Amino acid sequence: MHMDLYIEGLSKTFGPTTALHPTDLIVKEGTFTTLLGPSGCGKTTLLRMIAGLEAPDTGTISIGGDTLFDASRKRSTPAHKRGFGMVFQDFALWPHMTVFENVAFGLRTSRRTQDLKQTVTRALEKVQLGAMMDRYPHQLSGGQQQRVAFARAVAVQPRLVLFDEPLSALDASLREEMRVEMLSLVRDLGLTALYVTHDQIEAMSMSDEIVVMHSGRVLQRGTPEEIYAKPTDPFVARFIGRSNWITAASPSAEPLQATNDADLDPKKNPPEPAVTLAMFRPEHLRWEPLGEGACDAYEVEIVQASYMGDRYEVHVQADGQEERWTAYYDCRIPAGSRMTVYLPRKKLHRLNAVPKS
Amino acid sequence: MNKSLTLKPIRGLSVLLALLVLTVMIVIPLIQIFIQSVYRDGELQLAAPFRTIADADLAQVMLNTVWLGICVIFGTTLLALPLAWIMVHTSIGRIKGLEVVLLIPFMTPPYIGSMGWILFMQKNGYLEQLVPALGRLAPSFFSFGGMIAIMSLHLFPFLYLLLRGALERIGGSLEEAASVLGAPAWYRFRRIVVPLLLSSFGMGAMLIFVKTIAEFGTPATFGKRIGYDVMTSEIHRYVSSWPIDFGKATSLSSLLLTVCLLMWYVQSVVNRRYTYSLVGGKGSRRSAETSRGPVLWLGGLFVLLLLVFSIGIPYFSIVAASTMKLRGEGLSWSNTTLDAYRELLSFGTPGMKALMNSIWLALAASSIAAVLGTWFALVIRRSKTIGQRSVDLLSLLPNTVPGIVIVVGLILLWNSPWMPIPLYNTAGIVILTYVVLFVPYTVQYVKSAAGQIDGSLMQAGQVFGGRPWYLLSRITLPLILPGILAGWTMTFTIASRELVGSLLILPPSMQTSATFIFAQFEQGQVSLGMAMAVVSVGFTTVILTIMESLGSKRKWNKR
Repeated sequence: MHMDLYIEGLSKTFGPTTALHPTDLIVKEGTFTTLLGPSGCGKTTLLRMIAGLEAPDTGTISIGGDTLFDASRKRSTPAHKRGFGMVFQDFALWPHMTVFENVAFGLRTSRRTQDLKQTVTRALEKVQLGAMMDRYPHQLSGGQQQRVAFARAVAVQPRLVLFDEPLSALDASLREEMRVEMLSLVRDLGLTALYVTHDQIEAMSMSDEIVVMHSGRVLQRGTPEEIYAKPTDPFVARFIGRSNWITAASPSAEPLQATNDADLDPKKNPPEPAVTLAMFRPEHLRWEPLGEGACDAYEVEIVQASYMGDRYEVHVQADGQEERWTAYYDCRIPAGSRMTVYLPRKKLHRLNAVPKS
Repeated sequence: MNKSLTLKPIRGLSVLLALLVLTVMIVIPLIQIFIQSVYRDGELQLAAPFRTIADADLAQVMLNTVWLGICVIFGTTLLALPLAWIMVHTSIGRIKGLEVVLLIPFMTPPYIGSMGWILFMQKNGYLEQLVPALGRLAPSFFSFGGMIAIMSLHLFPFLYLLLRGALERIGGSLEEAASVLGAPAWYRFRRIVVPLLLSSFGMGAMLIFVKTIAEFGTPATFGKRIGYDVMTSEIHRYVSSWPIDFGKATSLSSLLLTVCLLMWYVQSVVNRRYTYSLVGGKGSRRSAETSRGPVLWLGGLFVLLLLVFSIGIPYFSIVAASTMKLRGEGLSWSNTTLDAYRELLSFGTPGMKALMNSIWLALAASSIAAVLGTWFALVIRRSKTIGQRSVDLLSLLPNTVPGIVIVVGLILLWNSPWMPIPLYNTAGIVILTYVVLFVPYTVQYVKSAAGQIDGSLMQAGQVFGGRPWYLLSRITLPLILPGILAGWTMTFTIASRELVGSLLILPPSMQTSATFIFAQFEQGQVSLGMAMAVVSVGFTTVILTIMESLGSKRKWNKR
């Protein structure tokens, strides 16, 4: 039986502000889906509504044929009957319970106390905390608290695990370590995960599917590769990875009109689009006209070169372009020098900046 | 490096000097009490205080005191717990200004609140006049139960603030986490909310107990009327009315002092060992789910009734009594007059003199306390050395020790035959008493203000070449100024209405607003006393409001 999560037309307003416009979302069983967006984009509100901690205004939430929320029929399953697991941003470990009791909590509430000790031990061993069972949360380090929070959320074998920016309370080096560890655990246990973050690296490295959100709307959804290579919205392009922009009006962009871009759907591409925007990623800018396919050449002036260890990050100003570009190079170039750069046409990605209604 | 080296001896000297000042101000008076209670007829008798207490039927007084403390814990819990829940979990908590209004009972001097209740409930009082049917119930208010009610209505905001803080932190993700993991409401309450609330509650209950047994205003007014004697009122009797018996007074004082110090010690141990840090990170948020319907209505009713009982009734009675023309006539518009205010506020009357005395004594005391308190707080810094920790402990001691005990100690010290400084029986001793009683306010406010100054701010100043004095005047002082002002305001407000010190230590010919109110209420013109109560509460409120708005205008305090 499928345990996919279906969300249809879900929306929420807080007083005068709309936290979430009507939104549809599907989370397939066994996948890792990430809601990505800047703070205040509605991603946490969406997650909390799925958890049952916030009441939506409209729409439905269902999982595997089981309707959890239906605004039109005024039906709402309370949070404690939804059978989910959740990892909170501040971990929310109960300070008066030991690590063992924290993890056992969900099993006790669902009366699955038969092999309680074994189940809890197994969950804690998974996160390498088997020896810490009798400690209290305040005796643990940040990373260990995070692991307990994770073990607590998955010990009940939930239909869906919700993650509310779980790594943001950790410092940078620990965050990377926990990211790898958590992902492998989620995969190991075959969990369905919905993950909220504002960190694009977390989103890109962990997810099967990313849902990019902004001001209460879903802008784009797709695999990390799709989101990175073919952003459909300028905001998505700028928010994820680095982007270099080509102004359509500029003379050097003329070749654009000649290319026959198969990616653009003719239906979506009316004869006179409002503005045509085009972007490419820094790693695609070449310093020699090599490689497959046709290239466009641009005259650039080097503004600044910064050494990054594995490469130089070069800021260049192309003639006739409004925005500076970023490119990568393998040796130092003095600022002020003039060079020619080449961009393979295939790597140019065009988007229609549809004026927002 | 050089600079900090040359500063070290100055800092050490400063700590020593602070300890010396605190010893003279606070420690010696308290030791005087112990010495007086065990030295009888020129010889040491360690059992003397116990014998005195056993002999003089004071055991009953002790039992009374403890029983009152326990009952008031119960009373305040009954008021504060539902209130805290309502304020956290319903939309009533979002009403602007309610938070401040709920502090009014605590800020009302207890003797004034008690007088309001006595006026309301006494025979032919305002209750009987407003609702004659309930008049018959009024006499039963003059009982132990009534005393608990008055004291609980005065002290509940204290417990409420503690419980509310704890509930707010629990109500965020800690409770939500339990909810997502399948715990229904009752289970959450039992397993999460109650255990986490318990430590905060225990702390609050102990503090309420100490505050109750140290309280003087209500026992001196209401307690006296119903004949319920507690330790503070007995101490007052033995040092102020004939036959004066310092043996009994010091025995009782040392006992009261011991109990309070013990409770304070237990509380600080419990605080260190058993309190869970419930500090929420940035993820903690107010629970979005709020109750509606009947719960909201019941909550609103509860808050409304609480406000009526804790603020409405006492203040109504005081204002009504202050404008009463003839006592026998009762409540009516034709029987109101502002004569009492006119008499009080015209030049040269005893009332005006008392009011002026209060103001200048409080001004002097609060200014001295602000300077001393700031100095102590700066000496304490982060209380790393033993010296700094001792300054911290001693300067906050008057918060724990009942006011009347400190006053008795000061009398013993400054009135002793060997005392060369003739401060006793002058205004100076009154100012000193106020300073000792209220210096903890400034110390606490300045300490918390200074605690927010990050070490890097001073280091930045040093790096940019600031000399120590320059750093103090340009960085430290401006940043702790709000704390100093808050301490000054608080000290001024409380000192200008202080009762127990004023009653015991004022020179014979001098009166303050508090002793004036007390004397007029006991035997004189009630309307005059109550007009004074309105004026003194009124003008201190105005000053609090002005200082508050000044403080909030500071740019860097805004979020």
